[in-house]
Amino acid sequence: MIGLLAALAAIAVAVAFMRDLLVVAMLSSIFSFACCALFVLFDAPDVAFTEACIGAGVSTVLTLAALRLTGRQERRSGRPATAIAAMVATVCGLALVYGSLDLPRFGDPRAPANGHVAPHYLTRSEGEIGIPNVVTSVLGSYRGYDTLGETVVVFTAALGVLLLIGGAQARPGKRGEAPARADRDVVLRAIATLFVPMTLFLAPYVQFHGAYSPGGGFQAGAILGGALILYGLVFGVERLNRLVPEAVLRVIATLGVLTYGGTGLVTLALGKGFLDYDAFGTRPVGQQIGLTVIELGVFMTVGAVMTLLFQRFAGRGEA
Amino acid sequence: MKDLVGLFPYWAVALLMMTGLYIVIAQGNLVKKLIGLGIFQVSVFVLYIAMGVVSGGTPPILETGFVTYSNPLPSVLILTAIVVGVATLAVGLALAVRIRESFGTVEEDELLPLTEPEAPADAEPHA
Amino acid sequence: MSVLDHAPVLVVVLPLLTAPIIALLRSARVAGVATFVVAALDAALAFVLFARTLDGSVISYAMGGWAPPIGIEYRIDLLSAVMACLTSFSAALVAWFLPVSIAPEVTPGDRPRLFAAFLLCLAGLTGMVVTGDLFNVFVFLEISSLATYVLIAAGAGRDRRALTAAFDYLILGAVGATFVVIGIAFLYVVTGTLNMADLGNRLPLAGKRAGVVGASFLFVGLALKTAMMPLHRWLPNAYTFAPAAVTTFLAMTATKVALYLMIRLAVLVFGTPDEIGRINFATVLPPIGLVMLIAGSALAVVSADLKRLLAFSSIANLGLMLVALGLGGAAGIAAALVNLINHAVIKGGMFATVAGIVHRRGSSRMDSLAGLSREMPFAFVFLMIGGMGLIGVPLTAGFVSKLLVVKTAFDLGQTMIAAGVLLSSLISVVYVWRIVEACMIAKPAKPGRRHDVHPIFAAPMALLGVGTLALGIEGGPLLDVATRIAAALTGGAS
Repeated sequence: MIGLLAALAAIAVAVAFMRDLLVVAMLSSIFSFACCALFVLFDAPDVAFTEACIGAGVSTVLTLAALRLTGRQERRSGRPATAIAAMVATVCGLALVYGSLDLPRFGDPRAPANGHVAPHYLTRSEGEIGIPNVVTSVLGSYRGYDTLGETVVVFTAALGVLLLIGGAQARPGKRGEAPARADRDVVLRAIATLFVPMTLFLAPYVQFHGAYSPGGGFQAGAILGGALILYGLVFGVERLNRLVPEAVLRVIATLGVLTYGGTGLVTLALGKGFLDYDAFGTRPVGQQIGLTVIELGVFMTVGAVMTLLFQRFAGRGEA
Repeated sequence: MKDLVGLFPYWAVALLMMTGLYIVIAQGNLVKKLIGLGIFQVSVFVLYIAMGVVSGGTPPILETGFVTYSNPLPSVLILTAIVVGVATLAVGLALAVRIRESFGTVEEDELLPLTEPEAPADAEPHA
Repeated sequence: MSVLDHAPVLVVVLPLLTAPIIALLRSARVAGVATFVVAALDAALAFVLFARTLDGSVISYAMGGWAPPIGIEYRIDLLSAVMACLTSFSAALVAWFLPVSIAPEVTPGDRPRLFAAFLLCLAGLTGMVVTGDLFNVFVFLEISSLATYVLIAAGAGRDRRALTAAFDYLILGAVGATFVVIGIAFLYVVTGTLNMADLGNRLPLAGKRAGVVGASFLFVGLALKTAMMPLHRWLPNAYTFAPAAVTTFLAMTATKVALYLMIRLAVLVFGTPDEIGRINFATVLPPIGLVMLIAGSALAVVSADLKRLLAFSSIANLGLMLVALGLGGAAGIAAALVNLINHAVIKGGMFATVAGIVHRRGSSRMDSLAGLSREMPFAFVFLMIGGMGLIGVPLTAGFVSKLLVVKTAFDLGQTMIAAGVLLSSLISVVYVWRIVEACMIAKPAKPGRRHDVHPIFAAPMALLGVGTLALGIEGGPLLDVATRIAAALTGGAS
């Protein structure tokens, strides 16, 4: 753990001082991966999974796609903001240290955070929801409303990018301007031909096995998006657009949100509260039905949006 | 003093968070600010997960033979936060791209004179 | 259970789920109408909530059927209901003229998506005011924030500085949101719960230092959203360069919701407002508020753009609300709430009028307003009514709000504050006079014909303008509601 934390600190400092933004993007990706390792170490495999797919994966791809349009080098000039920034950071840091003095020591099982609500999830979810992955239970059922909000956030991001890049301001890349197709390279073509279908199979597995192991809608959607993005990177974004047209993705993303929210409305119609899966049957079966449906909604939206975001950024012509 | 050793992980994370925050405020390149924001946020996630660790525990996936589990709630919250983070990043990058196209630069120092608030309206140059 | 029993959820879920559908629509016209219908329905739902909580009862709705703190709880008391009414009524009013107002700036193909973003912003803001779970607040904060960045950037059609304004707000907003998350982390770790009412019960027993640090991080994060100095820098640019209709909506809701959260957290989580820290409220707010009050008014005087002038005036008024909060106690909260509602009405009316002016004339710069009083008399009248409200002329809502703060300050012996408020009123006379001067006295380059605002702006302008006067003439009911809320918050805390 100490080694990882030290490495993270080194990377963060390097990011602060490097000017080549391509390198910075890669460093931040490594930072995310190192955090993944920490998450695994800290008994949070679901988070590690998601951070790997979305934090290290999709974020880096989007950053690189944007850098292609905004420029690779940072131009540095003397900035007075540096002093203010250092001061703010130091003050906040000291505040954090001060506040931490009251915190339970690392790993303490008697910490209040580990009492009260958490034990209920750990002990009662078996009977109430009946799936081993407690994180999925909490995410999908106990705190399912937050997850609906989260799915809407993903959708909102897509909405925002669609409004900002594309539509009437569409500047479709002219021939030769889009990211170069890499499929003339034998090695890349071979790897892509191998990995894309494998990853496409991995996605549904992660989706449905998320109840029994780390996984679930978000990770599966990100993996599906990742597979499609890989295809787009190697074979060209035009082919990706032909394979999964943007219009289709928009509809799927919408359907995902509506599936999730619609489940809630259905439970209302069935006489129960919003997102109360007991409306679907006695526990734990009813809960599992509800969970499966909403996870599908999440999968649809996340997968469609990740691909959509890549398509928009990659398809944009040079200024 | 020995007691404080148990706080060391939190302090290390606090350092990471502050580095990220520093990048956001001090750096002038808009994309770099976004990357710094990402570092800041991921460090906060590490803080949360660190708070949920139970020594001697195992990931919160119920399995016969295990009794002590780590706290599932921070995982749930952070899953949400990660997704929110990438959503913000996407919108931020889209804005950066548009700014580059409109103003020709994404460096804050160069943008300042171009975005003088009291100057008259300045519509986008149409392609 | 009837539909109305689910009003607590539907008031948020309705705009939340209809937005994606609207985004898919082809016809901008249908999308525009649909947006208004949804917003109007939402306002009706909010009103139902208001009617049900007027007697002081609290509605508790457990999401997913899981009782709090295991599950997420929607907890609606009179304050939440009033705020929900504020967000939804503002949305309905703006949705009425949004399609027409936005037309010159956004192409028809993009408009359905913009309307969807508008509804998502509404859903996010409303979600923040009705929930009883702290992390849920964060999620909906992010929904509304993301939608806001996009809405502001839509102004790029008229002025490309909307893009940088939106980006600055994004960075600041994301940092603020992360601070909120850090604050929640500290509070969760020492109490084990995310439910706000539950937190209130458990925090006094938990570690003091973590509680204070957690509260402070939360406070700073929210301060950013409230445009509290020195974190106010995003507001003037965002208000100026966003489309006028968007500015109207934001001016009426966004900062107010953040202020609501401060009040709510102070009371629910930290005990009485005086308690959470003589550190946070009583010592910090009045000075900052006073600075905002005076500086905001002064900066308004020198602005070259009408929207910018009004934005600085908003900062000044936010300072007033913070001063009121800082005065503490039930009287302080009541004064802040009265100011909140009144300001929303006054500013909303003024920005709606500006939207009408910009739509007709293409610019809101002060030097382009010459001849307005002759060419757009209807608009000019409502600008003046709003101006009177901002100064605090008797018979307007502004008078009631300012009087309340001055009186509360006097009662508590804070004569400096009372003097500050009066000084700011004097300065507002100057900038309102500038508006008069620009519209009525300045000679236009060439005389224009009389061409008043597009009729669609008439209803919102009139409603809000009349409201400004009505709340000034008959300020009793609002004060009554505010006092009741304040008493419930401080008396029966958690």
